[in-house]
Amino acid sequence: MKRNLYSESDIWLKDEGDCENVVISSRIRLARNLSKIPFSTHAKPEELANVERLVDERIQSIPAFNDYESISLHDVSQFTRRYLKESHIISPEMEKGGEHRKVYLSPGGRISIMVNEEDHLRFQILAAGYNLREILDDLIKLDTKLVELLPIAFSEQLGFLTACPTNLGTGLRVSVMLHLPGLVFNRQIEDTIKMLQPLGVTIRGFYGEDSEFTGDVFQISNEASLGKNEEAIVDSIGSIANKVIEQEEEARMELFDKRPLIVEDTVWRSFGILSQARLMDTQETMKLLSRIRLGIERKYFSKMNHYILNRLFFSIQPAHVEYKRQTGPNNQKRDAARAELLRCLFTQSGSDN
Amino acid sequence: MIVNPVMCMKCNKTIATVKFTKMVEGKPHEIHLCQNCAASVSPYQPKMSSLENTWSEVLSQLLASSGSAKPSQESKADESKSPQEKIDAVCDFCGFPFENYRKSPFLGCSFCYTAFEKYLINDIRRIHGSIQHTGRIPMRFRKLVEIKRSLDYLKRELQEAIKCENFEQAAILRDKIRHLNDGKSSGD
Repeated sequence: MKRNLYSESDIWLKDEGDCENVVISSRIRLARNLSKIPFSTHAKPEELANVERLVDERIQSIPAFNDYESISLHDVSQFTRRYLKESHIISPEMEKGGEHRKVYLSPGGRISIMVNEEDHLRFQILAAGYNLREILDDLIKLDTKLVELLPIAFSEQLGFLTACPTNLGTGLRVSVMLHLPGLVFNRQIEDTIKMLQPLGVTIRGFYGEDSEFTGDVFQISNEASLGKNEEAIVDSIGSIANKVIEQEEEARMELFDKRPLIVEDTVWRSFGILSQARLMDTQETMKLLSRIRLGIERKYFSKMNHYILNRLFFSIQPAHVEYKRQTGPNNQKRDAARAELLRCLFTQSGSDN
Repeated sequence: MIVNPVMCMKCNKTIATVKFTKMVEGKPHEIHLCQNCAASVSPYQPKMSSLENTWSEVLSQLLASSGSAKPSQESKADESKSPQEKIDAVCDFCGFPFENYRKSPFLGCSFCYTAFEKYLINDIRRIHGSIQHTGRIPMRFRKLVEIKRSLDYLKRELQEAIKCENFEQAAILRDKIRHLNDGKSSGD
């Protein structure tokens, strides 16, 4: 690998974004397939190789992609794949590896292009905070550059043709990752979810499909991709996200207003554990970091901000800790290393409080 | 024919058009309900009149198209709630048997959409609430799509002109259609 993938894959998270008190990150991806080659889920190895070659040639011919890192998911270790999945750069499906599966990564990890996922091409742009229109503009430029000269499977009626009919039309999936501790604390979250369901929105946890809502993190994304154009889909998820942001802000206000001591106690108790514990697993850490993130709003910690916390949500994941402290795949060693990292950070940031 | 419809988990009589996620011990559980049952369990359903319209539109479209396609066989299949009737269709291009789509959510290749169109269309409508793409068009398809959309428009105008016995206008439209059709075939 040309660059240090591990230290560079989450630089995108450092950027400032809007509504950072509630929105952790935004993401939009497009799905595209080459015509006359079976979808990657059914293609033979030589057909997958053909897709890989065509995309390689296209990418190498465009100067804008010169500084992208090309990572063959078949050649790298299971550990590297897990690290990339934890950084939200590849999908859980790509974590499995497989021949002729590849990801192209922009410096800093903001843009990734996956080859031979369930569709031949899936490319995404990530951004910290709430940033949908800018991402969409950049993604459309990327789409034009990348696929305009490729023989793309398209139909006038159904739009871009995809391996699974749920991605037809625009092939676009937009998701906003929201931190909703106020709604969870106030037990209003179920009402919010009920409100969202009939609006054509899918709700997932931090880790995507079928994951639990660890750390009070909820990802909302569009269910339908056919019928509306790209801007309309993005705007509708944007306005739904705005509604949820408003509800969360109201819930936090009510919480701080009516139960200030309980909130304060919860936040500082979490701080106590994070700055003292000797073994911390991922789940518990996420739960406690969520409370610290809530406390940031009240300026409990002068050296902490939302960006540090956003990065922590990623960097306390197992492969991230394993890489940073070279613990190897031993659970207890890893939990001890995680606790040490957290102690170090929280004793420093809490010293003047 | 409706492919893989999700039946309402409450009454088990009607196709589910509303999906809820219920939290049980912190884990999300999906619940699929029909419009009526959804209205009976959720305070949000009856209140949202605009959404209700959308859903009932989708539902009526579903029912209308499934009934009209092949009346005798199809409606029988619907009555007996056995959409799993075996379909032997196979894609000419990639050899993908349609039956495999029932087992996994994927199709074999982009030509499967043409090969299985009549079996898939209601499924697509159920997922997206639409069967017409209105988003971006790749450059190389742009001209063809423009021509097709103009043709569709002119054909509708022509029908209208004939209905109103405006034959002069109809002749102009017919010439325009012919002209576009010629351009389309030479453009290919």
